[in-house]
Amino acid sequence: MLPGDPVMHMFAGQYVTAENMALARETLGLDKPIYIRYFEWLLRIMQGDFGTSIVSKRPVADMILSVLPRTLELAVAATLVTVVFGIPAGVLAAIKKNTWVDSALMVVVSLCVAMPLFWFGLIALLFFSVELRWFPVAANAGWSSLVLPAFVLGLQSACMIARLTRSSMLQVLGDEYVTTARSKGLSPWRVVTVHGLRNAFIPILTLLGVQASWLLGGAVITETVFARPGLGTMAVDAIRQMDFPVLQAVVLIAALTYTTVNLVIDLMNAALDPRIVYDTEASKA
Amino acid sequence: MITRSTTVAACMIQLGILHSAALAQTAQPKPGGTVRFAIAEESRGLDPLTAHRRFSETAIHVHDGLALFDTANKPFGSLAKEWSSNPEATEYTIKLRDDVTFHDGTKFNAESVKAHFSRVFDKQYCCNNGHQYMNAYVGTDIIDDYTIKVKFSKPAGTFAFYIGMLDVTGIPSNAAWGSKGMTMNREPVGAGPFKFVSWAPQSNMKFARNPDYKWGSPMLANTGAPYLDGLEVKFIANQATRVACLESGDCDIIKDPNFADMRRLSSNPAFEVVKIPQTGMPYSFVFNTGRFPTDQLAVRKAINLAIDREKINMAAFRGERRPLYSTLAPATPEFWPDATKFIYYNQAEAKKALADAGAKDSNGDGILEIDNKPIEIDLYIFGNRDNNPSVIVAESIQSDLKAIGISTRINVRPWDDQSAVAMREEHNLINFDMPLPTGSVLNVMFNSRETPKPGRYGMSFTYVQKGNAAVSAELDTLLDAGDNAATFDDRKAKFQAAQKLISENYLGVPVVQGFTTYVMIKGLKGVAYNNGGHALFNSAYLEGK
Repeated sequence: MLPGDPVMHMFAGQYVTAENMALARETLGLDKPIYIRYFEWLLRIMQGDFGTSIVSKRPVADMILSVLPRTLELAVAATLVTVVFGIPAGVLAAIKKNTWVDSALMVVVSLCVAMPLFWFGLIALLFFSVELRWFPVAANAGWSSLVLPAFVLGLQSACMIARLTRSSMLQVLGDEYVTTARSKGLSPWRVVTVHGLRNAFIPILTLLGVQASWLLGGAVITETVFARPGLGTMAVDAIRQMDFPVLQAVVLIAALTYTTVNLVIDLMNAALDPRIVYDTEASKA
Repeated sequence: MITRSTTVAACMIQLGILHSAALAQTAQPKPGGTVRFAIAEESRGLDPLTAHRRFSETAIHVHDGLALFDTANKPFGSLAKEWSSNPEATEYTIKLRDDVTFHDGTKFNAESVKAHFSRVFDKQYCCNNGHQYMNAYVGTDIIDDYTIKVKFSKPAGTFAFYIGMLDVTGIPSNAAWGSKGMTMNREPVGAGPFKFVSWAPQSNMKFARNPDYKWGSPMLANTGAPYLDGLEVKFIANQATRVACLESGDCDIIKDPNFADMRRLSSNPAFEVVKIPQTGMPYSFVFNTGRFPTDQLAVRKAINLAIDREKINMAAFRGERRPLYSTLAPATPEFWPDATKFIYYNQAEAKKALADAGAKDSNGDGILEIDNKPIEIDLYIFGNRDNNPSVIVAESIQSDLKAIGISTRINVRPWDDQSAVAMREEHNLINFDMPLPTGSVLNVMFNSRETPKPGRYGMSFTYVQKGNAAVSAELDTLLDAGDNAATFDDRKAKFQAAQKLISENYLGVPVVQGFTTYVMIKGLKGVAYNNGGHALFNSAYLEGK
């Protein structure tokens, strides 16, 4: 529960009479008991009505719809960066185990995981936007405004995936079926991708699902540094301004997204690995 | 009957015309181009009915108010040509311009103003700033198409100031209100120099030049249509990102960079820094006079004399603010210059004040006692622990007070706890920052009526009614009289007497005066500023366009 009184916050630092405070509380419906407000909210949600923002007086659904595509765009691009950089780096480190390539990759990965996202974002902004002027600062649209935030957000996630991919691949590459595949004369590429990566992929996929929620959290920081509109910024503003209806909607959407992504990942796991069977009535029969 | 003329306002209007003529002779404005302006916080809306903090920052481009005040708080006409009040300041007669057209093509007239004030006091739009500031409002009489009489139930001398606040007298199109209603908050139709184009939430607002504009305030160098084709206001919360936006060439002007960047940008010939002094009560603390040991006048005086404000300014604000030795900032119209005779830095005198009050260190622990009770204070600051200048301020005060034998406990709380902390009376010193453009801020901070109570937000944290009922009663009388004074001179006299009482009783600890700071590219010329520190782009142009 968010502590504090939104009406007090609304008028913080302003001259306001007691009567006007009471009037504002009544107008916003905050004079009702909390359980009534909660059930009223539930009822409205079931009808697809997220309410109206206390601060901007706009319908919350409109507010969310206006920024949701920007957050999705960032999350998808960041996931792409994660997959494109993280998995090949992990595979490369695994097949070059105990060489300088492996060591160098793991040093970079460790540094990258330890780097605060906020700091990394600012450094990237100063280097690529201020010094090189490759990308705009605080631009509102276009692919050029997406590249840097997606790279910053996705890279840290990529480093975590790289570490897991390496350890998972090392485990799989030592298995007998991989040795058999090699002895059959299959190309190293086929051994790594078909026999190695496919079997190492289950934990990677699970981590990718977990990362989806991390991306939402990371989006708050990335959106702040790059001045991008999005759900993360909206959540932070709602907390700061005690805008309950907006915050409730953002939390609900985040929870739904997290649950949905993890459900999809579970189903994909089952599709990838025939040994995974969900315990349903049908399977029991 | 109107007996007091507005010669002051009329003279100011004439002076403003001369000023603008002089500027016009020296500058060669280039038409065209769009200025990209980055500020920290997005406005909650663009209609005065939903005006709260940060409203005027962006709404000032699309709306004109009845009057405009410059950074020295001098009044200039805007939508109003002139105004005057009766001797009691319960009625204001306002003559309006007859050449103003809203962005939807409808005419501005007396009905527009009356309808706006009616909406301000409509319960369904509670509780906008206009409602707060004009709480004695009774109604508006239309004398003729371009003359109105605004009536109050009690003297409202402060309306002479509030008339210049956009959140009170920014007038939107009444016809547009009839058709759009609350949508006006997102798609405003005003009579300002720029027309609203678009609002991308959390990102930017775009405005286009109003080519028909010819009613600019004489405070501005250009009273006609803006030279710029457009204006883009970007919302960039992070200070470092705002600075990066300026340095990368993606912004032309930014507001309030951080202190370190400000110093660096000041020495860069590519940029220009403009600093507008804050008014009202900038960064300060007040005492809880109802709690030991700050219920003792000697302790309050000693604390004020022991604090090295120069050191605080350098350590916490990198020298970018100015030490403050008065309750009101010097730029406030009702400032009392003699306040500085009470507050200065002199640790020897601070020690003497404590010794004279019988304070002594009987157990040798370095902390003085009065009546066998150690002089320990609870100091409250608000915000985060990290990167918060208040933490450095508090630590500096702690070290200064330790040198005179006073122990300080520093408490850091979220800003929203400020009222709760004050209500529990846990503080000896509590931090706040209230840079309003008028001495009325004293009423908010020191009138016992404004003491916070459950369900009632208030900022009078001194509990002076408990510490000294006689002083409190006298202060309340002066402050109410100041707010209700009919003339500026009378209000100034009352508020100055109140400042004297506050200073003599050492009710607060002023620390530093801040600035509203803008950094812009050298090629951006002609930006003007009002008394709220807001940037106006009526006369702005981009060199080389």
